[in-house]
Parts: sequence; C-alpha cells; structure tokens
Amino acid sequence: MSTKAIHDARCRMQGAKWAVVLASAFWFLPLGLAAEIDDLKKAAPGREAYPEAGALILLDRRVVTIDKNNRATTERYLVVKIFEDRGRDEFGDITQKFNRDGQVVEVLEARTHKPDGTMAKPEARAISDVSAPEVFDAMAYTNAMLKVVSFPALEKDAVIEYRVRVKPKRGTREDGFSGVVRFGGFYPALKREFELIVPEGVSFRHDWTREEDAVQPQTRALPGKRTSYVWQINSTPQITEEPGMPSLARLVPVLVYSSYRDWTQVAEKLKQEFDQGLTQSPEVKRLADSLTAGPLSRGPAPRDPGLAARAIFLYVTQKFRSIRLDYGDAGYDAHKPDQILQWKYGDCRDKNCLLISLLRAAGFDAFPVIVSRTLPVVKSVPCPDVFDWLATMAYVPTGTAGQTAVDNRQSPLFLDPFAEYHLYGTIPSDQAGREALVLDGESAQLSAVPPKGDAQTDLAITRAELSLSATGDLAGTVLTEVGGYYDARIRANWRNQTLSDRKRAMAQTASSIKTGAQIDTFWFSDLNDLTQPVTAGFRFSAPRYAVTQKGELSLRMASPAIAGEPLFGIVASGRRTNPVESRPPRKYSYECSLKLPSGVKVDILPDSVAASHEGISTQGAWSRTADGVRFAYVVGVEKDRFEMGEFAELKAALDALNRAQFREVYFLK
Amino acid sequence: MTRLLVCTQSDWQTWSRWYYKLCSTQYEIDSALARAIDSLTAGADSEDAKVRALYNFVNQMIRYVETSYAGSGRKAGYQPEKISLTFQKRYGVCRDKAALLVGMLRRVSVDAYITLTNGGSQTDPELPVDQFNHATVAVKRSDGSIYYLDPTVENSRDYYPGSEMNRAVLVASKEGDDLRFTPLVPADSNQLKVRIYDTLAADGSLSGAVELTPNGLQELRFRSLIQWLPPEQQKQTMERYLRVFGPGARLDTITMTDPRDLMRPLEIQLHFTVPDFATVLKAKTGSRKPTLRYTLPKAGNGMFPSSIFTWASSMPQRKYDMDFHSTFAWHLVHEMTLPKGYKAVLVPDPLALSHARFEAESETRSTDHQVTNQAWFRLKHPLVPVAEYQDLRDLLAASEEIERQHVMLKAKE
Repeated sequence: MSTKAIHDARCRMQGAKWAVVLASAFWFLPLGLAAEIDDLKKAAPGREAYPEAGALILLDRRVVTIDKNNRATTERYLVVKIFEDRGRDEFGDITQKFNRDGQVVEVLEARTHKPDGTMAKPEARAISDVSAPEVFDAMAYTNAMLKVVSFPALEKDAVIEYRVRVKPKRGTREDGFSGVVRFGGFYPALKREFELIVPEGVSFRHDWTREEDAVQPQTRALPGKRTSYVWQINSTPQITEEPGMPSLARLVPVLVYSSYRDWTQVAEKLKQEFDQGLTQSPEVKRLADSLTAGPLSRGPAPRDPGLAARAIFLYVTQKFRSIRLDYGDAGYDAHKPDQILQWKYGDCRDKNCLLISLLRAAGFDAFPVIVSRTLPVVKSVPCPDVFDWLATMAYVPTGTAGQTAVDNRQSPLFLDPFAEYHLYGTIPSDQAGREALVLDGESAQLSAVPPKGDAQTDLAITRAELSLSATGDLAGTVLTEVGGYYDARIRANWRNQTLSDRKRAMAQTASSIKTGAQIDTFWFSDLNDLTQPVTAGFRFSAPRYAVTQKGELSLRMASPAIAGEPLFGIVASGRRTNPVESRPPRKYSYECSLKLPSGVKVDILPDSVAASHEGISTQGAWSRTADGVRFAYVVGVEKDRFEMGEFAELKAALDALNRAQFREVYFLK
Repeated sequence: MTRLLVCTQSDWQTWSRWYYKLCSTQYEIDSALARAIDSLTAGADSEDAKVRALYNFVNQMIRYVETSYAGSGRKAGYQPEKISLTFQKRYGVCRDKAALLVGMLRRVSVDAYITLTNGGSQTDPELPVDQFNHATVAVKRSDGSIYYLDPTVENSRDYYPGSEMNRAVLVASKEGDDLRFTPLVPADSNQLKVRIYDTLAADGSLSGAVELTPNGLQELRFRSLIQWLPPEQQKQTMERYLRVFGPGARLDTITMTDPRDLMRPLEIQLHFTVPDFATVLKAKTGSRKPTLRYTLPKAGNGMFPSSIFTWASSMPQRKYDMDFHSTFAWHLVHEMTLPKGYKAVLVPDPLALSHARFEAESETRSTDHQVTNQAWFRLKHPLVPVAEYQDLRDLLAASEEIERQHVMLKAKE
C-alpha cells in the first residue's frame, strides 16, 4: 500500500472517534482494506511481468501486537493474484498452523475477488480445522493443528484475500516477546510487510540475518500509548526449488526481533518450560539402573561410564518412535518421562526429556541444547524462535575400570535421540556446526554443535573385484565401507526394508549395470547396530555385459555401489539459481579392478582426468594391471556450500569424472 | 489378494438405479450456469464440439480439492454437490466434477450419465458389491454405443486417460445398468515420439534438437509436468533428460505449444549441445584423422516411458503379474549428420523382437553423410503375466545390448 493510500484510508476514518480507536487497536479496518485492495488490484502487474510465477503475492503483511503481558496476537493479511493453475492449486487451500491448547485462530476475511469484479466467499464447510499432517499417527500431539480455508471461484486473474488472526488462549504473563519473520519464498511478492506494535517504552532488539538485507523500520506512535514499527521490502523475487539448495531461511531476508535481555534469559525461559517435564520417578530410576547394569555394575565387570551413557542413548533413540515435529510446533513443554515410557513415542522435546532424565538418573550431568538447523543466528538479538530443534549435551566422564569417574567438561557428548540412522558418535549433518544454546542454567552462551562427532569419518570406500569372460560376461564382488554421512544414508535407505524390499532394491542396482544382470548374493552389516560402521556388499553377474561387435570387444567400466554421492545428481542440470549446500565435507572413493580372460589385452584406455577447484576435487584414473585394468576415482567435497559463482566449477569437476566413466575401454582379442 | 465380498443386493442394476436417484436431485441449472453453457458451446456446431468445449471447461476450470482439506472430510460420501454450486465455487471432488459435466452435457442434449468406477484396482464383477472410489461420465451416442470422460484428470486431452482402460464402470441410469468395462487402448495411442536431428563435429561435440510429440497418457505426463513446474524448473528437468546424450549435455533453448490448450497436441522442442559426445581416438601412427566412436542415445531416462518399465522389470523372478494400468509405446527417430570427411564403418546391429504383449525394433543405417536410427517399443497389453515375464526380460536385455553397440566413424580415403 502506498503512503498516500495509507494516508487516504486514515483520513476517511478521522470523522468517527470510535473508528480511530478501533483503527489504533488493529491496523486493519474494512474501509481501509477495501481501498487498499482496490489499489493493489489496480496496480497488480500481469503474468508477463512474472513469467516464472503461477501467482503473485500482492501483499503479505503480518502484524504482531504485543500486550502488556508480552503476549502476542498475530494477524496475517495475504492478497494473491492468480496467474495460472499452478498458482491456483498452490493458494487454493491456505493453511494456518496453530497450537490448539494455547492459541485461537479466527479467519477475519476469506474471499475471492473475481476478474468480473464480483466476490465469492467460501462456504462454511470449506473452513475447517485439521490435524497437522506430521502428527496424524501420534495422538499426543493433536494440538498441532491447521486451519484450512478452501477458496472458491479461482481462475486466472482472480485475487485471493485472506486475513487471519492468531491470539493466545492463556492469560499468563510471558517474560518477553520475540519472533522471526521471513521476507521471501517460492512465490514473488510485490510487497512484504511486518509491523510490530508494542506498548510505549518497551524496548526490544532487532536485526537481519544477512547484513545486505538490512532495512530500518518506520516508527510511529499509536493511540493507546503504543508504538508501531514497520519493516517493508518490495518486489521480493521468486525462489526456484532445486535439489541440494540451502534452506529457504538462508536465501531470503529474515528479520529477527526480541525483547529478551540476553541469551541467558532466553535459556532460562526455555529451560524452565522444558524442566517441567523432567522428573526422577521410581520408574525412570529403575530403568536407568537396568540399562546401565553392565557398564556401571560394581561387580567384577569394569565400570565404563561411556558405555553406560551409550546404552541409555541407544535405548531412547531406538526403542521410541520419533514424531518429527520441529521444536515449538506443538508447544515447548515436554511430556513427563513416565508418560513417554507408556506411549513409546515422542517428539524432540519428549525423547530428549526421557534421555536427560535417564542420564541424570544414572548419575550423569545432562542438559537440553537447542539448535538452529535452518536459520543463521543473529548474536545481537537473543531470540528463542530461531531454534528449531532440541538435542542433549551430556557430560560423561572418561572413567576407566575401577576408577572414580572424573568430571570431564572439556569434551561433552552431543546426543540427538532422533539420530536413529546415525552411528553413535556421529552428528547429523543438518546440525553439525550449527549454532546452539545449552540450557544448563549456567553461562548460557551461544555455542555451536561440534562439526563432527568422535566416531565420525565422512567417508565411503567401495572396492569392486570384477572379471570378464571371453564372451563378454561380467561378474564380480563389490564391497562398501562407510562412515559418518554415508553410513547414515545407507541406514536411512535400507534399515527399514524387509528382505523382499532389499531384494527388489538390489535388483535395481543390477539393472543399473545392465538389464538382465542379477545380484547373486548381498549382505549388510547389522544396520540396527549403531555402534559399528556399516559395511555392505554384493556379488553380481551380468551376462553379455561387454559389447561384442564385428569381432571387437569393449566395455564401460561398471561402478555399481550401495552408497552413492548425491552431488552427481545435483549437477545433472547446469542450470542453477541457488547455491548448493553440500554438508558435511566428505570423501567418496571407488576402486575397481577388472580381470581379463586369457588372450584378451587392453587396446585403448580412456584418458585419466583430474579437476580441482575450491571445495571440490575429482580424480579418475585408468591403469593397466598384470591381468587386466584398474579404474579408480575419488570425489573430495571440502566445504559446506558452493555459491552460484562456484557452481560451474563444481559441475565441471563432477562432469569430467562422469564423462570419464562414460568412456569405453577397448580390447584386443 | 483374497477378498471376501458380501452383499444383499441382487444385481448391479440396483446399484445403478440407486446412484442415479441419489444424483438426480443435483442437476438443477441456475441462470449463471445456463449462461456459461450457452457461452461455452456458442460456436460448437456438432455434438462432438459441444462435448469437447464442456469437457475442457470442467477439466481445467473446476479445481479438484482433496476431501481431507475441503472441510475435514466433510465432502466425503457419495452424493455430488449441486452442480450450480460446484460451478459457482469452481471446485469439487471427482463426483462433483462428473455431475457438473453430466448436467452441462444434458443441457445441450447430449445423453450423459454419471458413472462409478475404481481408478486403482479392478472391480470384481461377480457380486454387486460397492468397490468404487471414483466417479466419471458416460455419453451414449445415438447408435447406443458408449464412450467415457473423466473430467477429474486435469490436463488430459484424451477424454478418458489410458490408465483407466479395461476398468469396470457402472453407469447410473434410471432403468439400471450392468457393469461395463472401458476399452483397451492400443499402445500407439499412448505414445511418445522422439525425433532427434543433430550434427556431430570432428572434435566429438554434438548439437541439434530433440522433438517430443507425445499422445494419450504420454501427453498427459508431459502436460502435467509442465503445468506443475515453473519455466526454469521445466528447463532444468528437460536438461536432465538430455543426459541420454551423456554428462555435460546442455539445453540451449526450449519451445513448446501451449500446454493449457487441450485443442492442440503438445509438441516440445529442445535445442541442445553436448561438448564431448563422441570419443576421439587418435590414430596410432601417421597423420590420419582420428576415429570417432560413440553409442547412440538410448531410451533410458525419465524422458521415456520405458524408464518405469525397466525399473519394474529388474527382478529376476516375479511372484505376481505386472500391471502397468496402461499400454504405451515410444518411437525414436534419430538423424545424425556426420562431420565432413567422415563415414560410418560400424553401426549397431538391427533388432526385431515381437511378442503377443510387447515388441521392440531397432535399425541403424548409414549413408554418405548421415547415420539414422529408428527404434520402437510397444507394450501392447497393460498386464504382463508371470509366465511371460522372462520373455520381457529377455527382450529388454536384447534391446539394451543393441543400444550399447557403437557407431564408429573413420575418415574417408
């Protein structure tokens, strides 16, 4: 809305005192909105100005009003012009997430402005509350809800108008207020605006996650002794979804605000809420004793605190179903451990609550640690909302047999009981190195999740021993050893598969060698055992693999594997609009030896290749051996992120290797 | 899977009459809908033209809404919405869209009926038990024959998508109707035609164009893909398809007919460049020009319908029949102009394998300045029984062996 339009809208309301009062209470009023939406519709560009977009957000405005008890009421006003079916289907059902226990959602307006100038409103049954999709099988979290509005009469050039208010249910006073506002997304917007209304004299801090986005707020005094701060960014571009892209919050302007004094206060607030779940019930104590009976027994067996902590961690991680709700989605209060023990499932609050309770019952210091996986943390703004995950920091003495445990605070263990596909001692890549806050009730300084765990080697090594028959049949054994990142990928892909599923999936691997090839046998180490790195292998045969044509014999070196390197897929297209996130740094290597039948010799080998750029190196080499050919390649990923300017080099390095694999080896018979 | 069916109804006609009656109160046309029908069919001078105009409208302009969202499942059930309301709201579930189309067709004197069917699995015809999960439309021609329309399958230029072939359909009529089956559609009606014309340079680089002309289910697949992706993502996807030419293949430009226009077949043209397509093998002695070797692009990635087929047929043995829900075919024509001064001395062998349910052919020829490859694949019946599975595997393996054979070019003497 232009400044003039705001001014005009206000002037129209000046005649009536009650209207002024209401206008001060809420930014929106039908009269002002009607004028504003008319202006927006008139000024709205057509599809030709946004050829990539299925719809254009004309206005995305959020207004957060803080009351004297620091409780926030949020209003969202969304005006969207539909360009084509893609936009129609994207915005046809608009959802608002809310916590049913703590919040009330009111749809203040929902209507479609049809291109002919008439309006259509949703029928009553088209506005409904449904459980958030991620909790459909976990009844403990049905407070995580979506208010859904299905918009009627959508067609090209129709404009959706949606206004919703989310207000707190409870009357309790909060210690402070805070929030995170994203100014961008997968659809372009003409205007994105955020208004924060606070009681006069209340101070808060605000900043942007990226310096280049810094926009200062417009400030004005409002009646009722309140102050308004408005941040506005016009013409935010459309972000294109691409494989391997960073989180949206790392690509668009993000404003962070908070009235909390410092990180200590933030930590205290969250710790208080979390601590309500921590109880040392007899049941928890009994369980802790039973889990640690071996490692901590005082009998002839040695005491090993590390093994005891591991036993507790593995129990919570593997025996309790993980409900993947982000931290805060269903509230901040953890359920009590006794309850979680009954349910056998939990979200990140609950599984960490149980883990910490058990660790403490076993005599270890353990604390929750909140992590920001997707947002960069602005250190100068102590804002609890930047954190979206919860894990545990445990201080486990490095005690030895028979000795009294010594507190070792220099090397705490970072434990995520959701890391059910990660080798113990490995840190999930979405958390490694990310900013975190330990809720230990002491210093509460911002810190970082360690970049690597003790047992972490982000490495995949595959060795293939192949042999070729005189008729061109290929057969061989492929053995893969992995650690860290690749270990987690194999567990995630294979662990929950039945034997039949695995056979089917391995048949795909055979097909990727050649149609008609088959896996004779395959094996995995115990993928449920999080204490040992994964090893896996298979033996295959591929009849008529080599090309025999007019008496010639040639082949492409097959490189089948159980663990793949995803960067090859990410660079499959050279067109790119976003940086590539490639966490963590890692190394992938493949060594293949091919034994030739007697009477067959290598005639021509492809050229070896090597490419090295900042953050990526690839190498592929062929060589003749006493009885055949050896082919080896290595991909080294040395950094977390490749900016747009680096993508061409990243692709060139990987393509060079891919092309090399594409080449044929020619033989003489 | 063994199923137990229990019913008290004596025949399918009873179901047919019941659904006819349940829907009969919903077809009332208000003035706004009447005006829209008149407007949509204003230029239509035949029944076919009217059906096309109304089908396209309901298919594209009435948004399909998930039952779980549109009112927490409040739209669950059998009875369609009143059609004037569906028209006004411009959204609905399958039965709402089907009923609206029936009402609109009847308004222009087309003999149309709402039908019940099951898009996912076959209906057991022996006992008249409700096994339906989908509603479509049947139109009776003046000669008594019937054809079907499914307005829920958005972007389908075919009235009835190939994936719903050979499915049981119950036409809801006043007199009652028996269970019928939708017809099998020939493979060539669900075909992707790929024409490649390109030029190979002496340095091994390749440039040219790929023309994609899909029909039937293949056309729906491409229309849906294009519809769902912003243009930049369309280009990225198409560039990934171009990896049939090898790593590094680059999409230079893309042109296509309007994917929203259901009156016109979809055609897509991709102009491409591949820097290192052919292997350049330098002569071991003398100053002769190098030899060029390469394999022709094979129908192996998501561009081709056979990718899902190859995936499904990877198991050495099967316990159950393979049901692809549809016939399909692809036809590849590749015309490659050779670098000046070169001739082909080696091309892949011909292939011609035919089976009752599937067939494949490939033929590569060379002339003085060109190598031409033509290849076909047809799945002629959607179902491949276990007993014939090995034949299919053998055919696919043989096809791939031909695809892996080389073209070798040598300098002309």
